[in-house]
Amino acid sequence: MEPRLAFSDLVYDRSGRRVLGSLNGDFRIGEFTGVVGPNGSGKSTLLRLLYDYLEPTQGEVELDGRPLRDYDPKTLARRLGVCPQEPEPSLDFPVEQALALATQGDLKSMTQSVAGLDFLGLQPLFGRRLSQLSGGEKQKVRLARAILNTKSWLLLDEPANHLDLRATWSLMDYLQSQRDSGVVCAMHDLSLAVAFCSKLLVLDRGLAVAFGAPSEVLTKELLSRVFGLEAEVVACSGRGVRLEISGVSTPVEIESGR
Amino acid sequence: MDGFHTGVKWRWGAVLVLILFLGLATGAGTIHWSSLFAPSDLSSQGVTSRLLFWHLRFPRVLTAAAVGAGLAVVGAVLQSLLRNPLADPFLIGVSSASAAGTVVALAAGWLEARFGVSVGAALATLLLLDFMAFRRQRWNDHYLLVAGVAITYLFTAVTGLVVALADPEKTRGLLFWLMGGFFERDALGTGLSVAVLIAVCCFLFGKANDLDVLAAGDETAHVLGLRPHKLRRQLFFVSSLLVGIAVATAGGIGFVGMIVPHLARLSCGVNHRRLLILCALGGASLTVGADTLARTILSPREIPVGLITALVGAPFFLYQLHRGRGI
Repeated sequence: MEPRLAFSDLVYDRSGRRVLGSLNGDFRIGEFTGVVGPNGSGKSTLLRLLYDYLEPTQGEVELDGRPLRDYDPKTLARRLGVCPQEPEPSLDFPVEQALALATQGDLKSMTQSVAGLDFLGLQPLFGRRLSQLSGGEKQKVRLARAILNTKSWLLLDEPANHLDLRATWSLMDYLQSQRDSGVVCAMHDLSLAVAFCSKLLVLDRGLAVAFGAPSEVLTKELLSRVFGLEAEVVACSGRGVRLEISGVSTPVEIESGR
Repeated sequence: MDGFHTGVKWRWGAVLVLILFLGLATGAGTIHWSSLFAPSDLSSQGVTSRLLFWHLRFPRVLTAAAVGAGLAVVGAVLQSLLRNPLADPFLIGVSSASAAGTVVALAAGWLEARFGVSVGAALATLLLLDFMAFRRQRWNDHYLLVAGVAITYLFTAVTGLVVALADPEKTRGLLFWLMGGFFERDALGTGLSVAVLIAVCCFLFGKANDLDVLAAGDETAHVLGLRPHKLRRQLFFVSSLLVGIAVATAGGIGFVGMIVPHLARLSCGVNHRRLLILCALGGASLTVGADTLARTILSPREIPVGLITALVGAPFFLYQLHRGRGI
């Protein structure tokens, strides 16, 4: 059976209000999927359901054909490498200790694993405490912890948050090059998603409105209707496709409480 | 390595040994050390020394050490659970509930049942706080703190009511007990304090890595394979055991659960394996030291130990804040 992370009839309600509608889909190893959509469309909620932090009101998430609930938490943690969006409470952990949380406190194993993550530039951060780091440096530590802990799936919620442009591109290159892992990222930066993701899942008000290759799903009509943008995906030399934005097409509808 | 080197715990250990020795050596009456392990010495001096040491001073110092270590360890656990440096059993109402339970038991004359009542009150309070703080599949620290402060007021009022309505002959004893001390400890209290401290500390040292992970936040803990809510309930249970036994044994000894974890954290960071060891050593040192002062500075009168820990602890805490060493 091909390894996959799948969800069917997935519904999530909060305080009697539907946050995610009935979603169906599956992600596969070797794919880099971007979950995109306007603010409040349910991207983070979907990721939280995928890593079992939230319990679905209805439906099921399955990893390799087994419901997530059937997995032992430690086993699940070894299969899913997760970087949540919400910042952690202000802690005074040294960087090494924060990273070693992913290896059950084993500093030696952590140091060996970190050696393969040169692109994040972690070495200069060693010996410092989290409270002494900038927002971007903290994000690098959180990403490294997710990647260290990952064996088959990476679920990252806004991974480029606080990162400078070079770090962002290095990270995206790394994620794009993963052939033995499935990568699912919630992203607000549509240009980045178009440039690097092999697939996009477009959410709008909790509903999946498109799922497929960026050039196929991001039609002019969809970009205008969902994102309120006058834009189109165009082919570019060297790197597949890119998003060309010419303006804001319509005021983005703001729904109170969303 | 994390601002901590092995010398720290040995220094804290050496301080505890020194304070234990002072606690055992100081007080009313003279102990002739050569007679302690010589049961054949039947001179009045020898018999008095053995009686003084083995029946009064040693159990008292042992109880003070166990209670202090327990309160400091619980303080460290609660501060990590709530991710709040102000959290201690007194702030969130657990000690107040235990004190109210114990006062009810003492006023009713249930001397030995007070341990069960105290632990039950602590456990019920923590379960109530847990129920209130866990909303919409999320844990909310702020709800717990606010609810804890309200519970503190509630049980302080219950305690005051019981004391006000109690037999006047018992009132002074109850008030003195409420201020904390080891003047009326018994063998059951000593035995329970030591046994529960050892059992709970063994459990907590086994959970030290999990406590590190939990300190990183519920969501991070979850994705690293921990189920925070389950762990939190386990920790609440063992904390209520320690607090309940400590309060039923020694009354209200405040500040130990707050100040010792702070000092320990300044020495060793947030690694819980080290933090819990330092808290146990520091809590025992502070309480034994305070008890030694309590029974010697105005001898033959005694000052409640809870007053000493607060009188020494509060200014010291303010000094630390002033020096900018943070909380």
